[in-house]
Amino acid sequence: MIWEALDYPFFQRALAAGLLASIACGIVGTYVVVKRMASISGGLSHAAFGGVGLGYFLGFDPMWGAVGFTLGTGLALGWAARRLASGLDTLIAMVWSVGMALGILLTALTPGYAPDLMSYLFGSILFVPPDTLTLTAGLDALILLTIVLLYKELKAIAFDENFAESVGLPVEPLFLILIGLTSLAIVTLIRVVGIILVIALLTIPAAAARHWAGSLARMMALACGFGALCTTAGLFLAYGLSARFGLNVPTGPLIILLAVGLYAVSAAFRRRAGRCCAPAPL
Amino acid sequence: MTAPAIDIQDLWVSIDQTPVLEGVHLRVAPGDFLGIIGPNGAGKSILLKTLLGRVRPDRGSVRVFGKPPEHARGRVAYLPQRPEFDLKFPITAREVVQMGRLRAGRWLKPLTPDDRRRAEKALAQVRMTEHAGRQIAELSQGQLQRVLIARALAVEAPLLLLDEPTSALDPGAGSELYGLLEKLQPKVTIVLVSHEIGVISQVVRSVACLNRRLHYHGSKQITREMIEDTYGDTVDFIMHRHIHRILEPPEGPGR
Repeated sequence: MIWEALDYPFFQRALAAGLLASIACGIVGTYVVVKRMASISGGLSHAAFGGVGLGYFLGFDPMWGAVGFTLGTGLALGWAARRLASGLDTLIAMVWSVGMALGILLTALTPGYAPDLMSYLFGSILFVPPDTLTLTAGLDALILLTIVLLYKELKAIAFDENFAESVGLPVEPLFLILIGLTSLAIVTLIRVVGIILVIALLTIPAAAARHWAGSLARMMALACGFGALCTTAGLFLAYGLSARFGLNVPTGPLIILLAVGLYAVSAAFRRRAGRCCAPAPL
Repeated sequence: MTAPAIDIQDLWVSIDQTPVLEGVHLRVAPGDFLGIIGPNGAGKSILLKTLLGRVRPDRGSVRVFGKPPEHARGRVAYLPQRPEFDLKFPITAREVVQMGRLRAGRWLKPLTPDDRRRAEKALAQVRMTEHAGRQIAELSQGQLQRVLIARALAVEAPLLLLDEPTSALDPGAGSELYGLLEKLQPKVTIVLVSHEIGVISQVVRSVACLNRRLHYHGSKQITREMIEDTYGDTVDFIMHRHIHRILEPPEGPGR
């Protein structure tokens, strides 16, 4: 039976990593979708690779490198985004590729072989070390706490920045907090699906949730659920394919394809239900 | 002496090197109801955005209640010409209006029952209570506009800036809004931007004409010269349609 997978500690850890990452990606992904920050998030997730390289090069845990580097880049990009009249997409493209370039360069300069470089790029949820789980749980707690404390303010700037500013809310600090949360959520997803696929798990569950949710809070809850569903189903599917058919399939891409499938089904049902809104664009 | 609600001295604004406002002087006393009229592209919306601190002047000074606009936030409520948000945002009309109750420095605290009451009152004022629980995507354009008016009212700011508030409303809802604005007077200073010369001249207490330059004499009287200067070639059309309603002698019977 497929449930025997649950007996393996590595599988339990993978399941936990997927569920923990779903919390971060559901909450933050909701903001990314409604505030249309997908391209900034894509840039940031690739910039994370620079942090991974930095970790290898300087000899500390690459995950911590990713946390620091993504957060720093995110805040700088957020600061610039509010001052640039145009050309933000070009800047994002630069951050995107510079992050990758730095990561590749720094890993190449690191003496010895960097064994799990590929696991950062494409994810390796089956080999999540326990301290990454602790880190992910910590980041989840930080994200949850911030959202609970600043829910109505963050909702206000996500909905209408101009109005929020007119009543005196500190729009820029709030926006930077949002970018900071996005950076942290990206880090939690790196191990699950890998840097290259992070943006998908950050946006797809939330975009599907928007078909059904009438409030931001419900959209977050639903997006967390969809994310959890996809990561869990992806894990069991990968395990099943390997146990039954001897097929060794990477889990990250499976999770993403399941998520897109879920989105498609949700959009189709939405259209049939046709209650309020047209299916949200990705 | 109390500071004027708005005090603009020699204001010059350009957007992408194109001059939009030139040498604007404007002083609005607390409690006034000023209508600003002018053709499309006259700089009406830019003038309001300058008062909100969203547009930086090239030259000149702008004071709102004696302070730079950035320091008058929360004392100014603004209704934009067009919604400045995603209409598919998952949010109800009621939540939008409640945003009018947000303030700086009230972190971590939920909305109080009093805030909710005031938001409900604003919803009732625009007769949207019945639809308050609906998603904004489900509202008609006119209903959405009423929700946005309610959001501006919920701020309960002493200065209300309205940019073409009736353009999405049917005539009935439009005159209802004007009636509502009159009731807010004179506690609230109102600046209303419109190109409907005829209608606003019936509700406002003073009128200014804007076309890059501002003509304003602190009264409701519009001279032929103001109109000519503001509307240029189209003046005959404007005069024909509206001028009999606004070119009344200053000593004539008030509205």
